[in-house]
Amino acid sequence: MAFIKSQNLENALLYFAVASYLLATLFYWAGFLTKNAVTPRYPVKLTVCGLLGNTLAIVVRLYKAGSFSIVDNTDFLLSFTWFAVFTGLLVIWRYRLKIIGIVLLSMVFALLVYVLATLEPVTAPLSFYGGDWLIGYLLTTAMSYGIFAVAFAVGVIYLMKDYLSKTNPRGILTQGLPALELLEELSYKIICYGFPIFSLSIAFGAVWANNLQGQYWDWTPKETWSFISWFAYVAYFHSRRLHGWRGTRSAWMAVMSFMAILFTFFGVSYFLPGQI
Amino acid sequence: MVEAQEKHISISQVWRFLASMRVGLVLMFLLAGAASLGVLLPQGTTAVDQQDVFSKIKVFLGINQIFATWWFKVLACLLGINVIACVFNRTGAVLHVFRYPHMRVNAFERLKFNDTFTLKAGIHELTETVSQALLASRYRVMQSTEDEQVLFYGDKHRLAVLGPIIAHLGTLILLAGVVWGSFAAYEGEVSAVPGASFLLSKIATHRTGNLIDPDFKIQVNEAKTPSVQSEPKGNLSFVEDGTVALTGDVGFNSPLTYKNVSIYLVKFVNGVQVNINYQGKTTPVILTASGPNHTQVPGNEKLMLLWSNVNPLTNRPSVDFRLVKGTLETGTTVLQQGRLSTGTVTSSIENLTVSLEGYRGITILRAVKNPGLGLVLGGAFLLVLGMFISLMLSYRKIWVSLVQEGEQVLVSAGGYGKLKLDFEVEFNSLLEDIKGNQGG
Repeated sequence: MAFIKSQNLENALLYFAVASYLLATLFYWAGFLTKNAVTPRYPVKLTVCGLLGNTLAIVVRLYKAGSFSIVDNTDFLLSFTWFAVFTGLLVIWRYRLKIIGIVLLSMVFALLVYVLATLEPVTAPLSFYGGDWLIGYLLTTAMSYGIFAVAFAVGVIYLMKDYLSKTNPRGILTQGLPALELLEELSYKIICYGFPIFSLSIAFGAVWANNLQGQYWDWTPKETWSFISWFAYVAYFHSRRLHGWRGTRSAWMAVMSFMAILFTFFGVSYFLPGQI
Repeated sequence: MVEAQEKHISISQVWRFLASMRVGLVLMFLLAGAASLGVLLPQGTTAVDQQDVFSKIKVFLGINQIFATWWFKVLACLLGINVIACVFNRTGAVLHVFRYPHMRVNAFERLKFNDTFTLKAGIHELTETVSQALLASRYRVMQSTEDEQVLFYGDKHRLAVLGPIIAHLGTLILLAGVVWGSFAAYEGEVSAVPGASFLLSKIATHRTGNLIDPDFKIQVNEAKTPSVQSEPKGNLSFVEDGTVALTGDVGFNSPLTYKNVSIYLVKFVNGVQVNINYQGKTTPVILTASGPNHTQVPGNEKLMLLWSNVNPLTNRPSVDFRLVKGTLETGTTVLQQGRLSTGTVTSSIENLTVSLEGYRGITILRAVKNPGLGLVLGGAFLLVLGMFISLMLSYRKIWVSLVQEGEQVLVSAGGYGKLKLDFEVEFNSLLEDIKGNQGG
């Protein structure tokens, strides 16, 4: 038991996850640049290994905390990356789209390096601030962020393909990327799954805030940027319906909306300190 | 007559404008832009120098309190009207689509996915095959026969059509709750010192008019300070007409509610209690590090105590003070200054002595009554439900026509779905089933 509770195990699992994700990222890039001539199966296996390490790190932290909870930024980012990789693997398995790994795994790797750099030791959850609504809020938030991250990766691939098709239509890289139509629809489909969950997370957060403070909405920077991100995705759906915005515009909107999500998490904490 | 027609046209134009999704989109962008300004610019600051032109513009536009400005509320109201107009305009058509399936199709070739081919088979045999294939893909199947033609209509995930209506209705209910709350809700905060009691009407911030009904007295029986692993708690009583109506604990995440008024324990702060004795009368004052930095001496408008360096330590609390004569506006003269710690009493100046009683844990309570809350939360969950239905379900329709032509059957099929690639796979698989079973 002491071994499980030691910081060494948690660190080892995190380093294992980071190393696996790094190798997976390199293999995804190698596969893309060489048209899968190099070890086509390794990147997915390495991603699964990384996900295993990620999962175990979460389990160990939960065990150390003594309850099912997401307490700090470390816990949240581990959950966020877990959902991103899990959703990414589902997409890779369902659509044979390993190419999304070059963007998704690069991002996940960067996020976990940040986690390692700012690793916070497990603290006992503040039961009085917590409650089921808070857990529901944080879980749905992490889940929706993870799903949006995959949509972002697909959007970036779309923009890459679009750019390469215009500048070098017969190039090896252009040919190695999936069809634009598939990418466009896939990005939309993923956002269709992520957006209701994101909306649910805001509703859970409002209920939690109301139980705690008697105010369901207080226009704090975190709340305001959630609202802005939510509007960005609403605009994404309405612009598709209204203007028939598909293709490049739609991909840009998916990418920019995810930027708003990232700002909600990182930007508010760093550019607007004290307003988490 | 002509004028009436023109008027009619103009009203319908206004209505169309208000119901336009384009207007809704613009309003959303404006609201999001205003909200981001509200985050980037400091909010809640007091009025700026009125002489400066830019300051006047800032005050007029309410840049220092964007979320409470008239124009932000106007934008939100316009968005609400847009949603109402959208719901009114589209609900009828959507319900019609939902209730009455569109059995007939004028031209298969106009559908996004279509195919026409002939099969050597009897029409009755093929009818069974098509029906089974559609049912196997979980389509709701309807069939009609006219002359030599058998027409199939299949759809699935029809509920998705209602999703946007449910989501927009949820938005309307949510907005109604917000509006109701903004007119009828009130809230107020108070420091809960054990033994203290306060009237709800004295602490509540009235949003509009006198809405405190009924007016209770809330009595603080106990306020427990937090320790490493225990949360702060309070024990309160609601006193109505001089009798205790309800007594209970209040803590984080567990408010105490009586007659729709909820008392929340919102935070706990450390402070010190200072006793001001003026002409034999003692007045206790609670000071916190972030609290007010001056106190008017009760009974003397010319004497004031300025506080600084409040150290609310449980074992060695202290606070620095300056006793001044005058007002902050006209200028002050320092009569005495120093540091107060437990047990020290200042020397008497103008019949005034000040002493530090000790550390005080201060529980901040918030009294809230928001009759619109149920609508807001109910509307929010309806909105989310509508999103799940409309976005996670993909409405799909398929039409198949079978016409006997001699020994062959002419098969025409077509359909569409929200997600084209997924639908294409399903449509082609269905055609394969029809062709495969007949060896076509």
